Amino acid sequence: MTRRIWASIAMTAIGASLLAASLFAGPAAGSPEASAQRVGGSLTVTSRSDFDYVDPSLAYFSHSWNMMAATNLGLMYYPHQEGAASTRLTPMASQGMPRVSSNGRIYTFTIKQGFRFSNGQPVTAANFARAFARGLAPAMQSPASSFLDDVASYRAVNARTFRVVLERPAGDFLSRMSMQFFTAVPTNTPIAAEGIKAPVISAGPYHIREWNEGRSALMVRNPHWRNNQEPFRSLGFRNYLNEVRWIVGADPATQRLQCERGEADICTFPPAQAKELADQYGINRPNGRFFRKQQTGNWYLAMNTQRPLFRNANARKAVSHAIDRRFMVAQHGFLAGQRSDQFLPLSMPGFKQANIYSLRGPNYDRARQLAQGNVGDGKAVFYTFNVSQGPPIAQSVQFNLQRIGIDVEIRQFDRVVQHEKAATRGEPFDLTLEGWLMDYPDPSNFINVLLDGRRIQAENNVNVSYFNNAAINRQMDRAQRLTGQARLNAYGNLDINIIRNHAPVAPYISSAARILVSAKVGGFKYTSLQGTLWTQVFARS
Amino acid sequence: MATLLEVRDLRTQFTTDDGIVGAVDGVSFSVDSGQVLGIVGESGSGKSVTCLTLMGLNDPRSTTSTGEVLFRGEDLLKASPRRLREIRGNEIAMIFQDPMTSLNPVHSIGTQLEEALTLHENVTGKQARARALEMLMAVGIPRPERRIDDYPHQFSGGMRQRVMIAMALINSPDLVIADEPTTALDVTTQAQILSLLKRLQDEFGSAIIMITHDLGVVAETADDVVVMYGARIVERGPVDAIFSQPRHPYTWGLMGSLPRLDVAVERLEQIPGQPPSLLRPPSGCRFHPRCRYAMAKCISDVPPLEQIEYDPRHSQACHLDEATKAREAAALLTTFSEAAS
Amino acid sequence: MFRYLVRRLLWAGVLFIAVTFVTYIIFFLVPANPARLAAGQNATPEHIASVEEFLGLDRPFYVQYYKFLRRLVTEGSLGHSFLNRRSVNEEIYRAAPVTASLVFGAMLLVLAVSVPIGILSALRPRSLLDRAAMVYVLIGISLPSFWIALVLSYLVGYRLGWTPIAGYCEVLSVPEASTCGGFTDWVYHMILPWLTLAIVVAGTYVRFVRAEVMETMTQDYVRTARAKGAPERRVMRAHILRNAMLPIVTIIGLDIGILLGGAIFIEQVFGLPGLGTTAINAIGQFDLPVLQGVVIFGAIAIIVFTLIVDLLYAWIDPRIRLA
Repeated sequence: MTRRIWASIAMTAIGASLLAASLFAGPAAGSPEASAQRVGGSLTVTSRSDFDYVDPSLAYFSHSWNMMAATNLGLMYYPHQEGAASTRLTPMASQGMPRVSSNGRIYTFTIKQGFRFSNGQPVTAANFARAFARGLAPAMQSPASSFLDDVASYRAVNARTFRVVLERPAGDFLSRMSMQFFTAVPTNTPIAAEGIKAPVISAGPYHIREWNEGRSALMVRNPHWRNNQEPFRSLGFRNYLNEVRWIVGADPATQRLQCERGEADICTFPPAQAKELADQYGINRPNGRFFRKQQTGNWYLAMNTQRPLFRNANARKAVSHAIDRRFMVAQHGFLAGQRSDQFLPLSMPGFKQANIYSLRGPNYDRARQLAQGNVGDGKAVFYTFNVSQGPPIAQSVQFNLQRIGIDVEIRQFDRVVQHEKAATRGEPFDLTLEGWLMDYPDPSNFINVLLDGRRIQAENNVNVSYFNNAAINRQMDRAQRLTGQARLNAYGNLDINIIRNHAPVAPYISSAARILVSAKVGGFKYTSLQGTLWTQVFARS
Repeated sequence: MATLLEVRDLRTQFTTDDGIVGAVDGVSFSVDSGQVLGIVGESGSGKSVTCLTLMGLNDPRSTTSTGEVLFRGEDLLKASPRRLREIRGNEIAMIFQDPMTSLNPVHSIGTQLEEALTLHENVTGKQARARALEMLMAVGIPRPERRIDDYPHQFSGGMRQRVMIAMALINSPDLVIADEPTTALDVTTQAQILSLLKRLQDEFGSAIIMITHDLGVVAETADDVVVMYGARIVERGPVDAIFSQPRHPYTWGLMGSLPRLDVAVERLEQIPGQPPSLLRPPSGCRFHPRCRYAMAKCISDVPPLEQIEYDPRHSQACHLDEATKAREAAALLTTFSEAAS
Repeated sequence: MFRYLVRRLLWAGVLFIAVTFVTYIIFFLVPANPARLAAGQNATPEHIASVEEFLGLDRPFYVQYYKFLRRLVTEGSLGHSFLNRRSVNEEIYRAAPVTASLVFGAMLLVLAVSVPIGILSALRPRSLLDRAAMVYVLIGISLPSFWIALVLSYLVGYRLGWTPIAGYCEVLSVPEASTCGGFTDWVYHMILPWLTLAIVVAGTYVRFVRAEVMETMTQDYVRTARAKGAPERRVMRAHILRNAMLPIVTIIGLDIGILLGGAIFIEQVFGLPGLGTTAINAIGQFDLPVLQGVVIFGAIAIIVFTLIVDLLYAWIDPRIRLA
């Protein structure tokens, strides 16, 4: 999760409140097929920032992906449903799960018949091959190339068969195939660094007709998406709305007013106003306007294991006992998340609850026991960012650690600068504040990506604890090769193992999103991965 | 000769933050058609304010004037603003002291000349321009067609004053008030301007009120003289009478301090002291703090402006007896003629 | 005149180099790597390196600066955004009219309001009107623009519903994706932004007009005009104002030049996609080419308007001769 993460982190830092999903009000908390859903109408979304690209090979902002979940057709996807269903990787254009060779390296997809692009052209294997080609082309400079590192070759064998050969087995390959980078594109889509512009020819339920960069965008129905026929119907969603507009630019305070006045339908708001809105509209009411939705993301303190202070695991555990999670969570704002001491977010498949550290407040006794004789000269440098929750959390930690004999010096930076510095190996810090939002709902996206010591490089690290434990690395590899429930169990246990025995990080919050909508929005669904599920939304008449 | 302008007991007061200033304190004089009246006095004597009051050019918010200013029988102090506007620049025109600042720097002199005309006459643009050129010619500006579109800063001081004169005369006014028209100019130019004024006065037949602090100017141009001191008139009369028989110590002082080219005078006589404050003026005769001849009576009683017995045209305001004054005047003039010989 | 122009243009070139160079230096002093931001967090070192090469960031900064200058001079191009690879020229062309409409509209409002008030204040010093005007001036100068903007958008837009809360509408060629369009909509949406900027700016102008008129009123040539029999109206128009307003031309020109660089707060609160918003977004995302583009545009605007003002002034004030 690359540029997407820092955009999301930036949004969290300035308050990310995204799009709401509320179930249609009716006696039955209806399924999308309930006849009371209204087909037609249009909604307006306000957004602080614009899409980065509409080109699936280049787009990486989370709201760009949110839009593309409605416009693009991938081989695999995570269903447009709330709840557990949304975490089960499901075939989209692929006819059932792909055939995997016995050595786990060759994946063969059969493409369903019947999908068409918005210009009427049928979707074939060649369209997915083109996506791969663009992702890998040096001229495109696409972020997708990082996710195709282990692809040895790929080929459209025939119109309906697409084959990918990996260099080694990877349990998360199919998850990667759900990313927007690998959705179907017309075979003549150019390879050019600026990327394609609107109107975009795509094969999903909607397509982007217009994109006025920096200002607005318009998404309309794909005329060739036939809701009531196969292969469309069994996907379990439809394109209720005629069109969706995005209007870019106003700041959150103004957007909130616009949603309340009906000038817009789905808006952000300043995080500090969450309590007021919750009091006014209630939380998660049916027919409501204010929602809190679990996100699959977290925030944590990372301890630099390559510096003398935190080389010792007991020192790290002491920190995790000493911090005041209640206070730290409160700094994120009202309804911003739940207290947690584990690395995997609560809604991540595979998460297993274990009570390891205190969620109530500091446990100084235990902390001091562990800290005794293990904290060297007791001096630590804490890098934090200078807005929102950055400063108060740093001060809280400073306060807590002082009581166990660690003297913390706080250094504040601009968020991007702090991020960059911490990501540089050898940077002289002991503690830093970080967060992560999943790329796809697989635990390896947290554990392998963020804690595998073999991935450490000179710069641009995401493993900012610089944690490198051979035994744990082996366990990660083993878990990565597993699939299904076994995989989830392995990761659940690994999470507990790492936090209990090694504590390279001290997580404190499992994030939630807060969302405001206008009275016009009749029904919504929202997932942590996709954001607003446009194929479930409709407008009240 | 008909009386053109008659001023009776004019008083003008300014309201300032420090108090009330009586800038003109009971001034009376008259001007006949075609005549030149010189008003002489130092800075602050009230000579300029008198004339601004005539024209109604004081700031109405802070000025009050009483008395009568009869211009052809019409009291200008009671005239409506509209009537005053009709008169200004048309029947009564004014020439100001500093030609540098008295012309608008962003309009050409042609425009300003034409404005003076078109404010009062219904003429076409062409006619106005022709008339402006005529006037420029008349005031002696060479090649006026080349200079009419120039701006004031492109003219010398003397030229600018000529333009001002042209502007004043373009509507053939009956009365021209010239407020120190040559003070800001060098001596040579001064002479030119004065002779121009004289010539034009003959040509156009206007009366002139010439305000100056320079007796020499008065001697050259005026028919009658009014000497002002401390917002009041101290002596008044025909020019020859004033110069041959001055009857006020202030006038003697003025004459004594005249630099003269024809006579070698060792030292200019100064009038000792400062002009009086008009906010809290001296009691009695306002000149008494500076007067060599001051008596007790001068401090307590205001000397009335009285006609001289033998010459009813000539008035003076001094408590000294006639005999003393005649003697002092004679002595003063002898000094001059002795020096001359 | 020609020599004057040439000299001014040369000087403008020097200023231009200075401004762009300083922008480059400041940018490079910041410890953030745009290539990494563009490449993404999960990127391998090789990928980042290739992005660096692609963006030209692997060269020393003076080489980058030289390339930037050369491209600007030979192609007239400001390059491409690091973030989304769009042409910076286009971003500027799209954003500039929005800011321009904000600035020019607000300045018209400022003039329409501050000139009469300034004149009336000068004519009646220490009157109730004058004192009220001075109090207003103090308030207008002291209140931060974003506060005024927020309060107006809340009270007028949200509470009273008299105007839209935020947003910008195209006047011509309205895109389908917009929720509004056409001249009336455009005016309607711009009312609060114009008002906000006018409130912020007008205070200074009221004071200035007042001072200038008061001073001009005491000039001798005004007295001459009255002595010529000019009615007060004419005296005011042709003599007092004609002179008093001259320096205002200079100030307006400079202010417009400066504001064209982007009235950031106002654009942010009202969601106007102008140069201010563009600049803020570029700063937050370390998008040097776009930021440089906005800086350059701002510098050019100031340089051009200063020149226009000087020429205009020489034209309307005959005392000025361009040396």
